[in-house]
Amino acid sequence: MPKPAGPRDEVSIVTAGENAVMVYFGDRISPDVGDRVRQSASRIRSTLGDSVLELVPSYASLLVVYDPWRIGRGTLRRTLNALLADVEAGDKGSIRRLDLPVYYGEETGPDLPRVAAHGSIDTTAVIALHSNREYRVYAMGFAPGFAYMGSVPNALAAPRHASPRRQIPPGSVAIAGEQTAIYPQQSPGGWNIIGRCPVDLFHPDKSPPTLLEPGDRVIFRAISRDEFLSLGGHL
Amino acid sequence: MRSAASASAPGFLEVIAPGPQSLLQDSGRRGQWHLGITSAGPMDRLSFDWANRLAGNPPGLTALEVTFGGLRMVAHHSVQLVVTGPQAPITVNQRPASQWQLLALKPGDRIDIGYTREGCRLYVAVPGGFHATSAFGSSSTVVREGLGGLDGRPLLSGDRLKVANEHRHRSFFLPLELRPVYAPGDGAALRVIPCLQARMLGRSWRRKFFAARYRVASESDRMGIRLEGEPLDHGIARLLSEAVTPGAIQITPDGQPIVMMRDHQTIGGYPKLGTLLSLDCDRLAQYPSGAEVCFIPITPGRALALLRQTKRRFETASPIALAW
Repeated sequence: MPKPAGPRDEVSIVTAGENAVMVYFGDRISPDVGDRVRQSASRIRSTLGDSVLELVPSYASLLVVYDPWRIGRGTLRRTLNALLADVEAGDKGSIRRLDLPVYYGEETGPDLPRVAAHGSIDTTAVIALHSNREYRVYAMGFAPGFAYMGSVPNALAAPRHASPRRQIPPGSVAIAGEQTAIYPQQSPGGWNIIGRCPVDLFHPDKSPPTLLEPGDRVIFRAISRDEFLSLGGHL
Repeated sequence: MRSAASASAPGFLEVIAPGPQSLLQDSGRRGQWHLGITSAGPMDRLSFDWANRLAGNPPGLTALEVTFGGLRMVAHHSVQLVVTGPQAPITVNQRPASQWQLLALKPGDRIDIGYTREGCRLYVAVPGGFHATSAFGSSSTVVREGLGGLDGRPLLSGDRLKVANEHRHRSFFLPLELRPVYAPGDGAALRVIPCLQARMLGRSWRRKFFAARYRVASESDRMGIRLEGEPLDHGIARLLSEAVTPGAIQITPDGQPIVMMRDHQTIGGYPKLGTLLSLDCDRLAQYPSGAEVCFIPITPGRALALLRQTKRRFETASPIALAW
């Protein structure tokens, strides 16, 4: 079913519904793949305009929901094949780098010991490994403003909880496998919570409403409890 | 808001009892999934579209989605309204009133919408639509996100719902034979486009899925309808998280399907074996827990033909105009 598109044989376009297709760019998390997904998205947006209703990038895929009364399935597929044939991996856009403060500790991060046990290290080492490292935003989704970032070092890549917690406080910094993220709002979730960030990640009245977007680079900076509180953090 | 020049200010309906869940919904948000913001909008779009049509509105104006019924309101000015969806006992000042027909309430009139007998979701529209907070281009309420409607929450007793000061000169009525059928019958067949991870599941798995019967589980909500049946072990290791559409049929780790609905999460990591036809999402939205369903595969081409046919049928069906 997946058809090769262009010179890279791992690109495939598959049906995703009555008016949707999914473009796959392989099946791994990597900066190269992330760049290609982003560049493909901007190319599709500028070429297909109003025919595209939703365009959702993720780690190695791009969902295209189209208006079936404006563009047919065949035309869409042909257009996508042509557009994606020569997308380069090199990122030509400007790159935003953001420092995000995090108060790490068992008071805000009940899963610090669990992550430490996973890597056979102590909690101080978990904090040192998680901060001072550049992560990349690969996708926005799950909930408003929730940014999927990668990749965390193997020692920290603890799997998610078998049964999710019912309520995770807003700002919680979390790990699931090689992914890391911050929960923008209170929500249920199965990721490992290791700290809390006092910065607002989603505000419906702001433009843009989300602090982060795909392609951004993020570095977590460890702060003290006092700094967390003075930055407006809630415990 | 209507212009200040009009004879009377916009009036309101006061909520006496909201029922289990009543939400303001317009046709939903568009182009926001990449921010993590869900589609929202009516669970049964056909019944919602009919409500606006019978209120003499353009498509997509803000209406009420009343889950299971139980909504009681008092009019604080002259207001017209219509209730569509499955059958439920409706009274105005304790006298039986019709569904699928524009009704006129006088100041002080009380409307009681009883509980549905079969089917789950009723729609209430008024000429000109309800006023609601708009967020990201839509008034649709998503409780989880706290967006739209009345500060992102369901109706509560004492809420005053502002309605446009518009009145129709005639009432419109839709005869029974032109209305959607709500009863699931003996094992309703829902049409699915097999796609996405379906090819990784293998032929025998697929045959099992399309031969199986499922029951609608009680934990279903606007986010997803959970189904229960013989568990199917798909053996797919973790998938990289990817975008999720309404209608997507996800298979959970315990081998049961969940059909994503209007408040779907925008990205998820469960494997999907296909996407339900949107017309059948509307039908499924009306099936109560315990209803039996099965799935049949269709091609994308067939799906488009069905969409076109339903659109044409809606556009050409004409409600009967009645004098007040």
